[in-house]
Amino acid sequence: MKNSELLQGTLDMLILRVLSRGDSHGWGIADRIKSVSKDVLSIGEGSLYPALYRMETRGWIKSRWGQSENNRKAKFYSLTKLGEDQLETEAEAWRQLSGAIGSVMRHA
Amino acid sequence: MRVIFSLRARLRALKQRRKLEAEMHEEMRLHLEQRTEEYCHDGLTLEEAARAAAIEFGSLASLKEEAREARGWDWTESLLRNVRYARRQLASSKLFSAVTIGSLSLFLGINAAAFAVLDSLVLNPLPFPYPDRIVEVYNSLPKVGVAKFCSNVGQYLDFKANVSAFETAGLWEMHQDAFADADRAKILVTATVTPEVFDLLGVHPSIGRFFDLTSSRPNAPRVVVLTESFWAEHFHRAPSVVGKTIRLNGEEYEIVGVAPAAMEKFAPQVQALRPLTWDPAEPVLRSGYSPMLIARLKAGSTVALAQSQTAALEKAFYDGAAPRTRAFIDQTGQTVRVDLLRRQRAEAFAHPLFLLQASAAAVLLVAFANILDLFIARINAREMEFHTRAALGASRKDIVFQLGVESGVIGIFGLLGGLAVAEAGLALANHFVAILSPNTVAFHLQTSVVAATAAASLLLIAVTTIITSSQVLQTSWRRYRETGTRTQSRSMQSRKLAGYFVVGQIAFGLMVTVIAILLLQSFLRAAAVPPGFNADRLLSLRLAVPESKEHTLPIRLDEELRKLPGIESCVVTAAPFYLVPPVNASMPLGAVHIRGYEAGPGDGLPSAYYCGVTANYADVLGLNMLRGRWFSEPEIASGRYVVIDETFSKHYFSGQDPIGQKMVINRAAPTTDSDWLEIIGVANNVLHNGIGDKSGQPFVYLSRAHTPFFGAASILIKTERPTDEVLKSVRETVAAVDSEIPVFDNKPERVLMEESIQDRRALMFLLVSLAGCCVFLASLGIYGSLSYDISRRIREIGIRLAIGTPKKDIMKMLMTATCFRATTGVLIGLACGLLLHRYVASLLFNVSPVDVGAYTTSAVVVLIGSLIACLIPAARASRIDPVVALRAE
Repeated sequence: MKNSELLQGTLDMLILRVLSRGDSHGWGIADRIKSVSKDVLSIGEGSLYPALYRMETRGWIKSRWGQSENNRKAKFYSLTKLGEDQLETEAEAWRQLSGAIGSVMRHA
Repeated sequence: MRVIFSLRARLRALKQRRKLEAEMHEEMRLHLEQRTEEYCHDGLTLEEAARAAAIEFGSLASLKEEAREARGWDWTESLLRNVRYARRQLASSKLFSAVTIGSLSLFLGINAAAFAVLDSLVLNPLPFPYPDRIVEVYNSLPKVGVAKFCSNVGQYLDFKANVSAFETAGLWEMHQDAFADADRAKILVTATVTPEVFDLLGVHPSIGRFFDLTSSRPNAPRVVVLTESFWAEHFHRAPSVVGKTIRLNGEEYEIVGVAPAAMEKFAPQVQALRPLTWDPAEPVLRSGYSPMLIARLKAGSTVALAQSQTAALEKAFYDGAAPRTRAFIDQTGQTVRVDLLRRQRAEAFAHPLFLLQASAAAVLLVAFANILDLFIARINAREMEFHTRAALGASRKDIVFQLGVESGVIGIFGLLGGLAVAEAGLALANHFVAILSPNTVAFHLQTSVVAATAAASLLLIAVTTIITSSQVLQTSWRRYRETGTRTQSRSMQSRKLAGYFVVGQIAFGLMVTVIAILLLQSFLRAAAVPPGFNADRLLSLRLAVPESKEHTLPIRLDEELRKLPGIESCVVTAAPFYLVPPVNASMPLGAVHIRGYEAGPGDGLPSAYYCGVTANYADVLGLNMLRGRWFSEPEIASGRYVVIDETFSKHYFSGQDPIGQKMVINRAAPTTDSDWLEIIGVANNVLHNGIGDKSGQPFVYLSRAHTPFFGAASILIKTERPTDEVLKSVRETVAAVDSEIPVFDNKPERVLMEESIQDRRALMFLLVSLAGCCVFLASLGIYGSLSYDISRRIREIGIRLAIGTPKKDIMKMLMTATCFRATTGVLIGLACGLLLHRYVASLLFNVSPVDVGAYTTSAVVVLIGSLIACLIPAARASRIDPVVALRAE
C-alpha cells in the first residue's frame, strides 16, 4: 500500500511537470514520460486516466478537445494556476525527499 | 418549486454525465489506437498489434470503473444504475418481491392506522393552542364507588377567583335540545358554557361574536352561538345568519355568532352553544355534579400546584359548611381533583389502543425478521453474482450501495403499499365509527403518522443494508476469491442470526397470542352474561321531555300507545343500556337512607342507581320477582312503594327480610313516618349499565310519577310485529301527541346490548387476527430458515445417509436446534407475558390476567405451529436420495 501511495503522488507530479511544458493528450503524456525517462517509467493506462480524472476534479488541470498531431480528435489537458502551485509544492517536497534519501545513501 | 429546480439540475448533471462517459470512451479508444499503431510500427501485423495493445491496455470496463471512481463518485448516476439493476433483480424473483413488499405493506399499514387512531385519541386528543395547560377539575366520590363526577357553579366561582395557578376557568355542560326544523322536530346536541371556554381553548368567532358573562344572568336575552357545521347545514354559511333566531326547547334564541370548525374538535357532537346561567341571588350550590369545569393553567404553573390550591379551598369550604354537608362529604369521601384534560380524554382509550399498537408493532417486528431472513438467504444464494461483480472490479462500496438500493426499493414499495393499507383501514374504521356514533371527528393519516411510517421503513432499509452487507463482506467476500462448491453449509454467523430471529419471533408470537386468547375468553364470557331481562323482540326509543311536560306527557303517551295493536309498551325515565351519545352516562345514582340502618364507621354513604317505572315494566322486560311482588297500578300512582334488586337486598338486608322495610332514595332522610317508602319486592339483578358493568351498585325501582326524568324518557316496546313498522307507528303516535317532542335513538335492545360489548368485540377481533398473523409469520420464519438451511446442507445429509445414518436421526439432528430455539422463545414469551399482566387486566372481563389456561393454550398453539414448521422440511430432507444428493455436486 505504501508503495502505491508513493507512486501515485509521484505520478501526479510527473504528469504536472509534463503539462508545464505545454498542453498534451493522454497518449502524449505517457509517451513523453516514457521517452524522457529512457523507457524506465512506463505509465499504464490503468494508472494514467484515473490520475488525470482525479486531478481534473481537483482543479489542477483542465481539458479541451482539439486536433492531435496526426489529425485525430483528442482531449488535451493543460495546467491551471492551481496545478502550477501544486507542481511547485510537489517538486519542492520531491527535492527534499530525494536529497534526504541521497544523503542517507551516501553517508549512512 | 425548489424541488423542481433541484430535479432539473440533477437531470442536467445526468446529461452531462452521459457526455463525459462518451468522451471517456473516445479518449481511451484513441489511446488504444495509438498503441496499436506503435506496435504496427515495430513490425507486428495489424491483428497482432491490436491484440497486444488490448492485452496491455487491460479490461476497458474495469479501467472505466476506476476512472469513474477517480472522477468523483456521483450518487445520482450510480443510484439510477442500481435502481435499474434492483428492479431487474426483483422482477426476476417475483415470489421474493411479492412476499417482502406484501408483508411489509400490510404490517406497516396496520401500524400506521393504529398509530393514527392512537395519535388522535390518546397522544394528541386536544388540537388546541395549549393542550398541556388545559385541565379538568372534577370530584371523586370513592366511598360510593364513583371515580369521577363533574363540577358545579360553586366550585367554578370559587376556583376561578381564588386559584392563582389558573389563568382562566369555565363551565361546559352537554344538553339535548328539541329543535324545530322546517318540517319536523329533532334533537340537537348543544352545550351550555360560560364564555371563558372560548378564550380557554383559544378559538375566535368565524363571524359575529361570542357571548359574555352578562348572558349568564337569569333573564338575560337568550343568545346562541352556532357551530360551523350547523351553520353550513342549516344556513348554507350565509353571513346574514347573525341576528336571526332559532327555536330551542320552544324558546327563541338570537344567533350572535358562529364558532370556528376547530371548536368542534373539542366536542364533535355539539351543534350550538348557549350561555350557562345561574342566579347570583340564590345561594350557590356546591353539591350538584353537572357541568364540566375546565381551566387553563398559567404558563409555568403545574397541575400539582392547582391540585393543592383547589384542595385547600375545598378544605376551607368543608370547615365552614353545615353539619349535613360535612357528613355528606365524609360519607362519600368527596375530594376535588385536577388533571390534564388531555390525559382524562385519553384514559378510556389508552390501554386498548396502546395494547393494539404494541401488538401491531410486535407483528411488524416478526415480519421484519422474516424479511431480513429472506434477504440473507437470497444473498447466500447469489454468491455467484457477487463473485462476478467482484471479478469485474466492483468495489465493496459498490456492493454495499447496490444492496442498499435493493432494500431501498423494497422499503419504498412497502411504504407506499403501507400508506394505502392504512388509508383503507382508516376509511373502514371511520365507516364503523360513523355508524356507532355520528358526528365524531374522522381519523385521518396525519403528517406525523406518515413520517413515522417512513421512518420505520427507512429503519428497515438501513438494518437490512447493514446486515446483508456485513454478510457479503465479512463472510462471503473471502470465499469469492476461492472456488467453493455450489452447496456449502450456511455460514455460522448467518445461522446464529437466523437463530436469534426464530427465538424473537416465537417470543413475540407467544405474547400476542396470550393477550388475544385472554381477550377472546373475556369476550365470550361477556357475551354469555345473561342481561337479567328478556331482550327478544324488545325495542327502545328515547325522546326528549321538557321538565314542564314530564307529569303530563308520559301519561298521554301511555294512553295513545296502548291503542296500537300488537304491542305492549311503557314509558319510563330511563331504560337499561342508557347509551345515548354524547352523554353515554349510566343510570342516575342517588343517596339512599334506610330506616334503622346504621352504617359502619368506615362505610360509605349508601347509594343506588334508580329509575322510575310503570306497573307493566316487569312484564315488558320479563323480570323475575325473587321475593314479594311488583307494583300494582294504584301503588305506582301513590308513589309510596319501591322494588329493590337482589344486590340491594344482599347489601343492606343480609339475613333479614327486606319486604316491609322502609327507605328513601335521592332525598333527605324523612322526619315523619309517612314520608318513608315501603319495599314491596325484590327483583332479579339487571345489567342496566351494559354488559361490562362492573360497578356492582344496587338498583332501586321507583314510581314513574314521582321520579325526575332529567329531560328525557324511554319508551320500551315488546312486540311480535316487524321492527320498522312498529317504530314508524310509535313515532307517528308521539308526533300526534306533541309535535315538538323529538324522538331519537330507536334501536332494538338486542342491538344496544351488542353495542355495549362492541368495543370489546372490535379489540378482540383485531388482536386475534394480529396474533394469528404473528404465529403464522413466526412459523413461516422457522419453515423458511430451516428449509434454506437444509437446501445448503444437501451434500452433508447425502453423505450421512450414504454412510448409513438412520432417517430418524437425520430428522432429529435437523430439528433439535429449531425445537430448542422455539422452546427458548416460548419461555421468554411467557415471562414477558407475565410482566404485562397488570397492563392487560383492565381490559378483561371475568378472566384473570394470569389465567393458566390461556398461557398453556398459547404455548401449545405456538409450539405446534413451530413443530409443523420444522417437521415439513426435516421430513423432506430425510427422504433425500444420497445418490442424487451427491451427484448434484
